[in-house]
Amino acid sequence: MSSFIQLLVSGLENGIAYGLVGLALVLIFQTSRALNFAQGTMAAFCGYVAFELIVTRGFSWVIGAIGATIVGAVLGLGVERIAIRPLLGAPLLSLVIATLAIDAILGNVTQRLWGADVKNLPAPMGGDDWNVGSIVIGRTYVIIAIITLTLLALIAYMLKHTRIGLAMRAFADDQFAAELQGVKPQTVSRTVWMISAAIGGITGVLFGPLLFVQLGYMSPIFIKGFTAAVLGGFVSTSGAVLGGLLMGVLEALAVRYTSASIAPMLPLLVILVALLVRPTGVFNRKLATRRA
Amino acid sequence: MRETRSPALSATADSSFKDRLLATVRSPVFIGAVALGIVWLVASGFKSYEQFVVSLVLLHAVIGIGLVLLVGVAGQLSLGQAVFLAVGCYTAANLAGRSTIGLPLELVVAVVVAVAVGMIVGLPSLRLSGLLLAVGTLALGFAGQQLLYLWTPVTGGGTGKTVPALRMFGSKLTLLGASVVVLGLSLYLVFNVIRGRTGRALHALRTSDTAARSVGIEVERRRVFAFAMSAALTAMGGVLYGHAVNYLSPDNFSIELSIKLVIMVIIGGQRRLLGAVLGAAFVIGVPEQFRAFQDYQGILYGTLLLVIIIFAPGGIVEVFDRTVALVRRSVTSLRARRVTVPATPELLLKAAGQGSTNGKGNGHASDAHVVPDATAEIIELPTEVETPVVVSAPGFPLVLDEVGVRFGGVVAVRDVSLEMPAGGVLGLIGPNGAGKTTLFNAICGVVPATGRVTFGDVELTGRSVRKRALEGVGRTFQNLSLHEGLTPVDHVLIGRHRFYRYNLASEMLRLPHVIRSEREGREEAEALLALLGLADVANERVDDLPYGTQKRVDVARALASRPRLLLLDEPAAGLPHDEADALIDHVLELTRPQGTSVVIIEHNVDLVRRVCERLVVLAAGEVIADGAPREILEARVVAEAYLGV
Repeated sequence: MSSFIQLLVSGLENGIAYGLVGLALVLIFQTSRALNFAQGTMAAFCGYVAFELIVTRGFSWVIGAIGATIVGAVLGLGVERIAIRPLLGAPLLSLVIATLAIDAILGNVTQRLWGADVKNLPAPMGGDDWNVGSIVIGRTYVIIAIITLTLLALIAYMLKHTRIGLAMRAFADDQFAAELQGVKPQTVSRTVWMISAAIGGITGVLFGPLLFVQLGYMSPIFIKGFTAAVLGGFVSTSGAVLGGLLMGVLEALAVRYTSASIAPMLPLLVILVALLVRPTGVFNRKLATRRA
Repeated sequence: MRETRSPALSATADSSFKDRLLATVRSPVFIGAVALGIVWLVASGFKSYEQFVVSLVLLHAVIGIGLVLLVGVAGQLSLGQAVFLAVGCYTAANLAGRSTIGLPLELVVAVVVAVAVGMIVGLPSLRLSGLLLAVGTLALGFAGQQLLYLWTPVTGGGTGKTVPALRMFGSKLTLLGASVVVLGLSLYLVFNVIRGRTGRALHALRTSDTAARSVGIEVERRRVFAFAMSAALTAMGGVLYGHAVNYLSPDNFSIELSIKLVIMVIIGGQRRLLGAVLGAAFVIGVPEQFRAFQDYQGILYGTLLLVIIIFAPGGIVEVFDRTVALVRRSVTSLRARRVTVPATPELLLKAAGQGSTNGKGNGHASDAHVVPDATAEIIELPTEVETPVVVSAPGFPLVLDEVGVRFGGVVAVRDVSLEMPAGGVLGLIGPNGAGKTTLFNAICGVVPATGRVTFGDVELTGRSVRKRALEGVGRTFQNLSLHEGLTPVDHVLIGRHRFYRYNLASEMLRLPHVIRSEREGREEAEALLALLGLADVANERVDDLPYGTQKRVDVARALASRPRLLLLDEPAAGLPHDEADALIDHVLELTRPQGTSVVIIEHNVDLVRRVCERLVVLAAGEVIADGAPREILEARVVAEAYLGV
């Protein structure tokens, strides 16, 4: 029994990462009608920035993490200005290609700046484990979980109670009507890219120590984050996080109870089945792809 | 023999021969064949590495045209295409050397397997669209790759597998030659599909699913076909790719590869076959050119992608088209200058003379000749054998029995019962939100409804939109639902989709009866368009046309399906009164002889009073009045419903 709970715990641990990526993807998709294929690379870039600040320059972990998150936000603004703004209103596929282009460029830049070696990014609070009875919980993961929940709360507050949040929701619901009411698409798009890139930055920093910072270290997380967003129907931020957790648990179960070679396949197959049974998302009733 | 003819005769014979020659030379098939031949010749002289790169471009183009069909034409995004590539590659690896037939056998087997898998993958596409379809195929692609690691007997698992040399009937084959031939063949087949009724159906279902169904297009079947066809082409490219790389590892068939293939068609130009070729040249050629800048390849490649997608959203083919147009324009302007410089009275006269004969010729064709012919042809429809329904009966009564539609708690249509005799013209009026369009949707099967709808002795209740269309239910749309990017001629051809009898195989080969049927269709379409005053814009993009004209295109599409029950949803809205009158008169002129029953939703009171034999007033989903137009329009309830007095 306790080994089963351990399984769930480690599944949830990974699931948070997927959820965070999914969350950022949903925010962008709902407002820019774009799928950000560069999310993983952008997050990885921030992981490298944190490495630069903490290890190379000797700043404290907190300063490094904040610095990397700010760099992430600025990166988001830059990407939005260069690749997304000129394509506002373009078909989904054009936007996908644009983010793939950013992915190629940024991956190359990262490699030029930091080389191809594996970097060791320290974990917050030393990265020890906590033992609850016979169950081991990674301390880093607890911190990640706390940060994720805080982020979710902040985003929920922003969406519900701030002007820009209202604008974002209006925009997500009906772009045209929102514009008629004076919502500027540029403002919404800029804000959303900034926020989701900053979330990416945090993800990159938090998971750097666990996955080892190296070229493309966020790519597998990206794919699973993507599917997490799909499980959430691509409409709600909390749905994406739930989807991520579900994804993580499924994966852990698959690794434990099937052979290691089939395991990577199973979660995606589950998603496929989920899509076929409930094309509108497992947790949602509303259709996500109005104009996709 | 020619010398014995009189000068005049030989001149006309010559010119018609010349015309035909010119037409042949200018046809895409001829140009494509010549271009491929030149590539083959030139590349044969290359060093082996350059020849290899050219072959890679060609075989990627084979994959690309499959994706043009799937993504560009049918509008379905697949991020799992690497699976089909793998099917081709491993077929080659396992089959090569086993039989003396060699390449042809490998291609056939790869296509059969890929089509089977493609149909299985295509089935989810019936339930998913857009983003979710992309994710679904992505998941399948990922699962497929894992399967390659597991299926050791066939793939060699993680250690990989070598591919024997390319052979056919025992003799060696160059990769270049094989690629040229396979690409040529694929281009020809897919080009025929795209310009035939299948291509039109795919364009139609991409741009407006409901409109496609409402003219009887088999949306689901066509979608699965697009998947299967693109799978087949990708697998054919895969066979060649397997021979090109010699060694296969499951690592190759990643999601990244699938994404690269999609980038290829988007960057090349997703709606055009030429786009696939240009895209292949881009994804293979550009990294090749950047070899010297190995360290900055990602930056250069990404920047190029961005520049293209932002400044030429239609892909490289758009740049190509613009350049060609520019060259053409400058050539014509140069020519014009050359003509005007030595302008003598004689030359001017000659030019004017030519102009006027041309004008006369055109005028003759459109005014005096085609139109009466067209009317004759269309009005004589009952004698045509291909639509036996029209022959057998002059028309059918429409019966609605307690038809109701609810959206959640809102009752849009409440138990509407109505009987309409065959061949009548019924006006359906009522305030906004009365449920008029919803009632149309219930008759067409677009929304689920309670109650019964019967047309003649055919029960329509519970049937799909397409089945009802095949029973002769035709309609126009309040929001037009036109097919973006297509022309009015295309719309009419889409409208008469169900009258094409040729099958897929003959369509691909473009057999003589297909050409004949297509030509007849086009002539009929042009006649119909001329009748509706659309002859001048027949080949323009509908999105560029003014609203009133678009409206007529919508009507033309519905008429082309030769409905026996025609539902017109506010056909006159937004049109000047005289134009609206003319449009409706034309419609009735065409439908009356066929005994078609017509129902018109319309707010233009003068119009409904003039053309309708009977008016039904709908308010809040219920019939509140039903009778002769004169009585109805004076009735107190109607005034109340409309004006709230």
